[in-house]
Amino acid sequence: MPVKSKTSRPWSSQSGMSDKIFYLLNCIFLGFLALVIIYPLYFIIIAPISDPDAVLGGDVILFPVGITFSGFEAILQRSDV
Amino acid sequence: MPGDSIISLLTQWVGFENFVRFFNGVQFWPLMSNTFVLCVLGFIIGFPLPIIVALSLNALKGKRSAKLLQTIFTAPHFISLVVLVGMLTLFFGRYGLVNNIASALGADRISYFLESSAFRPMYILSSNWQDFGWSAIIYIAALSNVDQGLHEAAILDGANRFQRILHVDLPAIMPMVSVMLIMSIGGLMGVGYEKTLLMQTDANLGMSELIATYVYKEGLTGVPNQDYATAIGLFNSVINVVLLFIVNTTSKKFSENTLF
Repeated sequence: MPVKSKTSRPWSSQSGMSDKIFYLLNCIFLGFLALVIIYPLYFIIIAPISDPDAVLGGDVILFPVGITFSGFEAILQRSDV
Repeated sequence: MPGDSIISLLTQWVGFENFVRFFNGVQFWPLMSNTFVLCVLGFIIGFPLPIIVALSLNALKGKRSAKLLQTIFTAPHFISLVVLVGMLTLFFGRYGLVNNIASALGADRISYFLESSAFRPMYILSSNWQDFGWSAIIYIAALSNVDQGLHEAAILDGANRFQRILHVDLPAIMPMVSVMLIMSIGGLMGVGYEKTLLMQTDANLGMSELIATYVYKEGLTGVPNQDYATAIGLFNSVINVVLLFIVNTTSKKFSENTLF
């Protein structure tokens, strides 16, 4: 004979703990994917305004190093742009 | 003579000479295996990933964060291939991010673009990085049509969220999955030459020379052999059509979802 539920609301799930773990893992997975996507995109933004030598040397990681617009100047000076 | 025309004066019927030349050439098996392995590995990783991402985005509680994440995941699709490969050369270069992390962990610095064994992982991972969010859109759209009544019934039966994904969400998008499966198998051997050409170096040519790049090089560069290149391209398309038919009939046998 089925045991009567403690609460009247059927929505209060009895497997609350496993749901919580699932949501946590889900958030970690999606957060990891988002980081993996965002970092290279962010890098495309900081790399052009950093010192070219620092970019090639691997010194540009989180913030632009030695901010310069030399790349953009070089582009604008080309006659075929 | 009947059949003689201006065309037959200029061209010569060679039968299957170009095909025979390709099949007997030394490049045949390397080209076939390179293309096949790259495509199959890419398919094995790239096909389930958008489904998993769509299911897990759908399971997110906040609808706004799901929208935001979907936007982020879709963004790399709009980066051009040249920029993408430029980023790869920076990240996987001798002083790039990957080597910095590896050397911090005690490994030697490797020029990944000069290692032929690194070509396939780099190609497949960057392709998936770029396109999984885009491919997930179609599954997300299919998931938004799932009947909420089924979810409520599953909750009443005591299913947790993960069980609901397995037994409610996944069956609901299964027709879409099988159609996408047939379509992606049909395009399995049709890997593009653009990215491969960009990532090719003389050092990784042993792994990165695919049918598509070979057709390009034979048909359009150097002394063009357009007859030969067209024959190879046709052969590649024939493989694709055969694969498509095989998958479609298999799918017809096991389920009612078919493309044609």
